[in-house]
Amino acid sequence: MKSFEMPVGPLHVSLEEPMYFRIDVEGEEVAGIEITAGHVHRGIEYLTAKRNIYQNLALIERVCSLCSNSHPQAYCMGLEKIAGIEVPERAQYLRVIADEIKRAASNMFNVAILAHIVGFESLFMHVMEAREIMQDTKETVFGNRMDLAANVIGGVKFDIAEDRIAYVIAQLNRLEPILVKEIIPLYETNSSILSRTRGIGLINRDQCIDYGLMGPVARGSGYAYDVRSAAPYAVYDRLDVDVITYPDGDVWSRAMVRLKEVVEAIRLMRLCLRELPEGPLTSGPLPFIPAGEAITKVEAPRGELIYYLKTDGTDIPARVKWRVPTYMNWDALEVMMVGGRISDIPLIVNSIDPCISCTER
Amino acid sequence: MNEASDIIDLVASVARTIPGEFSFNEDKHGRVTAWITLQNSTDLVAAARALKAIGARLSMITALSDQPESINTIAYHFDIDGSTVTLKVGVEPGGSVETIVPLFRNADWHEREFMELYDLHVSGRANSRRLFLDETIDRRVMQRLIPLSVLSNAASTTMLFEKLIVDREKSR
Repeated sequence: MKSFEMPVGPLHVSLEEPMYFRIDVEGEEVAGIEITAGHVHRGIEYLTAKRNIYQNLALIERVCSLCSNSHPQAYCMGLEKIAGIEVPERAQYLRVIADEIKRAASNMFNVAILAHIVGFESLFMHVMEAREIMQDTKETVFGNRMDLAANVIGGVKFDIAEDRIAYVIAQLNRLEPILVKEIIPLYETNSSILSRTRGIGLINRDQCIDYGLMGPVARGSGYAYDVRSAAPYAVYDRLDVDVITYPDGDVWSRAMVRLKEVVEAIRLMRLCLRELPEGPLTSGPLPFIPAGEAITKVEAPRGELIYYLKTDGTDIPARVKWRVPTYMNWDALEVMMVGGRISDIPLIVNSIDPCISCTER
Repeated sequence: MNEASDIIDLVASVARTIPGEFSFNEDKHGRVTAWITLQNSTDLVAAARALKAIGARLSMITALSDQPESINTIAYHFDIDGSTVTLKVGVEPGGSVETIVPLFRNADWHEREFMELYDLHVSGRANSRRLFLDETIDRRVMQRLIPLSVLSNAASTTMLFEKLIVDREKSR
């Protein structure tokens, strides 16, 4: 059998962002993989030590577009922990709504791309069109479709008044039946989807734990860790989050976890809108942040996002460090890809919901 | 799921076996944040092994306090059922710690990243290929860079203006 090396990237039609893969191939089969990163390393962690804590809120939201709400949320939670700030209840509920609306849009984007890679363009268009309902909702509620600018230290800077609550519920009522009655059954039963995604890109639960994997990738292998229930923040402890798992650890299972998590996100948003208490949106004026250190975690659309913050009593943070879930997923590609076919590489890469700007910062 | 008191007992049992400082707090959801600062960086692997034995997984590694004269700190953040344990070790600039990759596979990228961004070394690694920065770029390069926004803000404009004034005076 003929062996050869195949370069993929850094600029490639199946990659949305630049990453270089050197893939060893034997015949049609992947025998090994080496990843070279660093093409979009922007030094953002370094920049956070050159900006004050308030400016950093805007900078950190721009690490990544799809999970842009998770970064400022974890960052604010860290500063609130250091300063002992109590976030008002209404703001806690609104934070969950912002979190879940981003999760819904992010997960739908990933499964839409899966359909595109499979070549099922009508399904790709259908999922993207349904996702537009969430995009429109974000634009109406937050004034922006991607970077919501929802969080401030000590609360939120958006509100959902009674008439807007009715609008958001109407939007959820539009999306849910499309998702439950049309999109999910298609992913569950369509032979084009199943033949290209079942039994492909396999990784088991123990390997997920060994590689430190989180989020839908790990849950697609039966590892039921979700920060929203394992280490609840905001008001997730009152919402009884359903942690979605699938046992098989293939491309299809990861997609199904993401789709079912959109349904769960809709349920959580409905619950928050129903229970939304009256009260202030923030704890008060711009707070003073004393010296201290804190660690916070949130469940970003791709899994656990962890922040470490250290302050020294000035308005410039001594250190801000974070790790996104995609960071570990890259390394695990060697498990998912080796033994697979060349034609499956784009599907497997997409199944980790890769975010290179998040990984490299 | 372990109770907070169980987590505290487990982590305290690890901290007792290794010289260093131990502190913790508990949040309103019953999750613990524990800090162990090791007296000797040579105890790192033993401490990491002990944490693994009580069910910890590695979440992240942070290098900090990167001043030329000071001691660098490397903080290893672990998760146990949603609670966080941070293991801190002090390392001289240019100093070394032992790898924990044999214990935690996902430490590989973290170690490679802090080696290239800080003047720190990790011993016992099979492969220390650069992660993000090219081999031709010096370690700690970020500490020598000036953000474009600083170069182009009002401060540099004043400097430029003063330089022009001086040059004009000289030319007279």
